[in-house]
Amino acid sequence: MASSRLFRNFPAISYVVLIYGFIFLPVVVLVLFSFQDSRIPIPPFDGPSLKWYGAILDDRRMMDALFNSVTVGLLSSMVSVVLGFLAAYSLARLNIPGARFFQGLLIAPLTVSYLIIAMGLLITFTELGIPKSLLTVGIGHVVINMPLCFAILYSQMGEHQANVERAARDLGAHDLQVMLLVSVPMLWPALFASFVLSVTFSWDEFIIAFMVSRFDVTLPVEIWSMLRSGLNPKTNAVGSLVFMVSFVVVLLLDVLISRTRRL
Amino acid sequence: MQALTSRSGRGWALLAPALLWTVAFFFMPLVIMGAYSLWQRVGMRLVRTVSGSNYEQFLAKSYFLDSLINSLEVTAIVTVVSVLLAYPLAWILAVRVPTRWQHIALILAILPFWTSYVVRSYSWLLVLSEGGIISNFLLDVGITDAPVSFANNRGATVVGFVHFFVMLLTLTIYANLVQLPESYRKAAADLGAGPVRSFIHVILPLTLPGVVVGAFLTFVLCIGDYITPQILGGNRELLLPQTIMLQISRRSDFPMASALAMILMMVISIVYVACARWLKLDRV
Amino acid sequence: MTEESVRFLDIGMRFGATVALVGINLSITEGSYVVLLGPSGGGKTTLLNILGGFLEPTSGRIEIKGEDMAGVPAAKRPTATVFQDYALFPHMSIEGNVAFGLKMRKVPRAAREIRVSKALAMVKLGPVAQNRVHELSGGQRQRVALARSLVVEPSVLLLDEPLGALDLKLRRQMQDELKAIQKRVGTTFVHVTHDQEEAMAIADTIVVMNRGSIEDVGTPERVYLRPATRFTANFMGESNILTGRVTEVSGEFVTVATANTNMAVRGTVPVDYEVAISIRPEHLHTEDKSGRIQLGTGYVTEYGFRGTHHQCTVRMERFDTPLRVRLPQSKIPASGEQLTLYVDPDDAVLLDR
Repeated sequence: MASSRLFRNFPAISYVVLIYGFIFLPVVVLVLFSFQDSRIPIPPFDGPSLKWYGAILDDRRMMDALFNSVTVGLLSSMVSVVLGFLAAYSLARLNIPGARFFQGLLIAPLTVSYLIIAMGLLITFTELGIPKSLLTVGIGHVVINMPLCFAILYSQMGEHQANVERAARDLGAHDLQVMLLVSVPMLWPALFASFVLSVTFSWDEFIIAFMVSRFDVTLPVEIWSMLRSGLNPKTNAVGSLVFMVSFVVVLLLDVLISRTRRL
Repeated sequence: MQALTSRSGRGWALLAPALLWTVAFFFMPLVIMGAYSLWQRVGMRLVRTVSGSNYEQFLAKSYFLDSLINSLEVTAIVTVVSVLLAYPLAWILAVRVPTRWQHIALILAILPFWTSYVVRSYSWLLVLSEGGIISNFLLDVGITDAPVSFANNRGATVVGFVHFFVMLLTLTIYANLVQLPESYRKAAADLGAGPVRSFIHVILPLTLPGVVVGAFLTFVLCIGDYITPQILGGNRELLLPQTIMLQISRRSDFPMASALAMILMMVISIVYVACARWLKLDRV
Repeated sequence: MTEESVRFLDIGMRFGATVALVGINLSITEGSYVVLLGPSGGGKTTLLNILGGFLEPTSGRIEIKGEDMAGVPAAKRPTATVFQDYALFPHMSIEGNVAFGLKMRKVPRAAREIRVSKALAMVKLGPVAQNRVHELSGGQRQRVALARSLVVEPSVLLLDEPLGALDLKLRRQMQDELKAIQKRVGTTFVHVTHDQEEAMAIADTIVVMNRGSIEDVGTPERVYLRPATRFTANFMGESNILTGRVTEVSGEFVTVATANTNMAVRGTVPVDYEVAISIRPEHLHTEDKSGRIQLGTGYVTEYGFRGTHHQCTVRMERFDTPLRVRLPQSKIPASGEQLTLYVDPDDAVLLDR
């Protein structure tokens, strides 16, 4: 009985194994050879050694870039969530003539390649004489993340939420109280999700950060300049580090979210 | 002040920051870029006279035109291959895997998302390059007797892209499949459809809009990507984003780069309109 | 001689440690309208799914027209199902939905078109044949689902809470329509619901189910007037339950001593048995007539007008629980009013305690 079921499922199982193998292969190789002892991360494996991780942690530029990435990610995401929330609240709740049109305007950046946004910003900043810096990178990241936050939050401000807000107003809350005491707490999961998503996108964004930054750069740009030196276990080490940290953070968030959902 | 206390006045005040930001840092740059694409760079100077010479050059020089054709070819291959690989996986996850395992299977399926975007392509270099994992494996097995390279060509670029988009499309298609009520499949079976015909007549048409949305996303992200072809593709053929970057970094020719970016945007718009049309037609 | 359409033989079903059905034995007559009635979790939907081929029972067997259905998948069974959410295919027109089953059976196009238009005419949806599913109202969707299942000419039609999504008025209207259509096509209908009024209105046979087993099977009149179990008495409309002990057996009657009176009730139970007596609220009267027994006196605690009658709660001397009584329209009760209640022994039903 069990063997016949295995036989029936064999094509499906082998397909899943193959695709997962394909998906995992480069990650496994990346992490494995980050522990390489010699200078080239190709077989034979001669580790394990932690010296490349040491090299990364000692690399001043890399640590600066890491710090820059975190700063830009957190700040630009905060701006994105706040602006996206205000716009969503305004379009969903207050009678704005032509709301659909503005909705279209706000999510327009989602339909364009980052490369085009990056080029537009580069030319504009050059034209206006604004120096390239982490600030301009942050501005660019708000451009790509705000539409996302807006779309997520707007979709959550449905009829149910509107009714609860009406009830609050009926009980005597004025607009600001409604927003802060009812709307924001009710939307908390969506606000949190859009913030996390924004941080993730900003953290991983390359082309805008590459084109509109100059001396201070973010982590992907710093890794990119290291890549030019070819295969290097140090790149493996920094890649593995980013991977492991991101994965742990995602797992923690996942556990946290499923916990709060259960409560 | 009177206007601000009114309801719609307050609405405008809340909307204004987001709107101004989008206009100042998205629409205005597009307009400026559009203007640049009509100007020229002569020597080291920018000449602000309107002409279509950049676009003429694009059509005249095979160097530019080929990069667009390469981009379209690579993107088409990547999109089709990714959909074909992802659909069965999403199907197996949604239908054959017990519910309590699905969550874990999905988290595992998108595991490589959490490597840095720049590093993802690099890690394929470790696998495909001369002396890399595959080359070494072939040597060990005895199929080849010298290290071989699978990197620095179109195939490597496609592999790098497909790797990313299989994950993305599996998620999209899976989400579509699980939200189909189970009763559709039951109803089809009840009315006499076997598994194959139930799939062709009911499941596939119902998930097709989701597949098209996913495929469009794949198309946009793929055709605008610079990193993957730059790391994996070598320099025998260039894709459009690489050509654009070369205009900027090597030649500082912003007008030409702008023209190429406008062309890229036009291509995306055409595909967008086609997809939107199809989706709308399907719904009515 | 009536022919047998479906037969369940000792069906049992368990999901892991949960027992969903136990010892189900039931025969369904060809061409009858059978309603499986019970509270949610009673096992009625599970039984329907087993009949439709969506679940394999853990034990027992099912026959449709004498043929064993073990291992026969849903697609190959002579059954068709109207699903609770209708499961209409949203990407097809109404016509496309109804034609689907015929297409799967490879019915040629010409014949298919005729049968589809006939089926749509039967449910009065001919004019909207080309419309999409989302353009229809709830009642119309219900009819499409019905037409889609009937057009393949199943020998048994299964309906899983088919009226559950409709509002009350439409529901009563669709009940009549369902019943009329069933009489016209003559197909055996097996209909699942938890609404006892719906069940009484349409069923030829009601099967009352609770906790995975059958409590009672019979015509609506039989099940309502002479319920077989205490559960049935309570679930089908309202009942007053008195408990007592058998003191005497004489012919068709037994005498039961309840808390405040001795009652003669039709039934055969040995002396000293603990029993229950069920009396419907409309069977309690305020005036004495020949053959009626006096139950005692009490006073009205609550009352309300229900259109066809006044519903009262009467607190009886020496009774643990108050009685529910229906007084005629003309007799307007007052709070605290003293009432003497009488019952016809034939209206009192003897039940196991």
